[in-house]
Amino acid sequence: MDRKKIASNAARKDAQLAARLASLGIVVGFVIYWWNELQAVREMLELAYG
Amino acid sequence: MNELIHSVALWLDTHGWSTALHESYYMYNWIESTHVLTLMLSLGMLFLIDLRMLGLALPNVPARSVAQRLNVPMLVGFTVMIITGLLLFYAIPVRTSQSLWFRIKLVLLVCAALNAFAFHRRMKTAPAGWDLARRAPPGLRLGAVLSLVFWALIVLCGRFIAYDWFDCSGEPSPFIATLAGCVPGQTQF
Amino acid sequence: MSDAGGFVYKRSVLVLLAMIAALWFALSDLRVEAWHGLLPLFEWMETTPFGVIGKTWGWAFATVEAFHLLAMALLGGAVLVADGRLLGLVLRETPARQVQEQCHTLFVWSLVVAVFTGIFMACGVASKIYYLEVFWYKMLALSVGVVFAFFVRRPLVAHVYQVPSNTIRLVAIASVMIWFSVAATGRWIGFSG
Repeated sequence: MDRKKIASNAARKDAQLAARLASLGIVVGFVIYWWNELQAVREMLELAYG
Repeated sequence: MNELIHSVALWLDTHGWSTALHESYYMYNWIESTHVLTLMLSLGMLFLIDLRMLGLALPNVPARSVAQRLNVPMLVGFTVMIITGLLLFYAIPVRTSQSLWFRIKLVLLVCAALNAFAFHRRMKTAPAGWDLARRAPPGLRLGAVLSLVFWALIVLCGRFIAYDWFDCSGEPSPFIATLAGCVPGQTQF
Repeated sequence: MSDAGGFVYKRSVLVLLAMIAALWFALSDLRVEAWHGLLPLFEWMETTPFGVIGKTWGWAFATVEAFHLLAMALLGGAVLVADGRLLGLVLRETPARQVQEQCHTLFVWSLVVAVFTGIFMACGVASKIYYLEVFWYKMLALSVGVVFAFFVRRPLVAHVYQVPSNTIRLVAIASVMIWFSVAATGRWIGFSG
């Protein structure tokens, strides 16, 4: 039995860890990128209107 | 009729908000981006429903449940599309009201709405159990194809509005000028 | 490390290495060197038939762009339904596994159309986008999105019923974020330059 089951479990755990790493990376990257974009827009508006 | 549209557009153009919106680089672009990106919600859901009817998407999920479940996000999407679309028109009323592509787009929108209405009526009267089949009955399939075609053309016309090929200021041929609603002797474009 | 056949955390290590490599690339001079190296490619792109057509006929470019947008709409629909199902927002009465499988097919097709129409458009405006920062952010987001979708998200949803729901939710949110970024940076290309 259990070779197959163990292998599937291991694959799942690997996929889970990879998914957590990659997702966290994307969320952090997303927040940094769009935060910077918003800041840039805010500065432009301040330059334009004071 | 065209004179009336032109004078209404000129009146809208005198509003301070309209000018402010047009001249605000960020505000205008944000509204424009929201209008385009919301396609993913409105047309995205609509395409999934239409493709389900044709047996090309989610074939194992009952068609009626796809249509009903995705209806809500789709309508949210279309509401955003309408609001941002109206704002975009309000920002540039004169040129847009005399855009051939904008006028074709409006006609197509009416066609799409009528088609959607007929589609929902046909869905109600379809024989029981129809929605478990991989493909919907012919009437619904026709509605789905028409919907796909109308919306593809609507997106195309929407994209073409940005180009000035047939603008009244460029003195198009009399036929085009009539369709686009150019007013003879108009001084404001 | 298990008795089921060697080292098991292959995927995780590769993901970690890819993230480190990406960071290193972004922060070192390599990025600028690669950018300079790509100039001939972009100059060549404008001379290809795609580039010539896109530059000569505005209506051809706009028509292809409309199909690019239609593909984007379908891709967005597939992503929103697949991730919305993982978040428990849509099609709750349909098994999650089934929704994932069937949305994936649509996702792949719309991605293929979007990439091909995108290449056509890029050829028409190659010398403009080469100098646009936002274009390169879009390419970055697109690469991350593709790797994430095929190499991370898909293997995970194969085990969707055994994975903790927090991980599933995190993946769904990241997936929506990355595809939103691809579309939004793409829209901004049109406003820049």
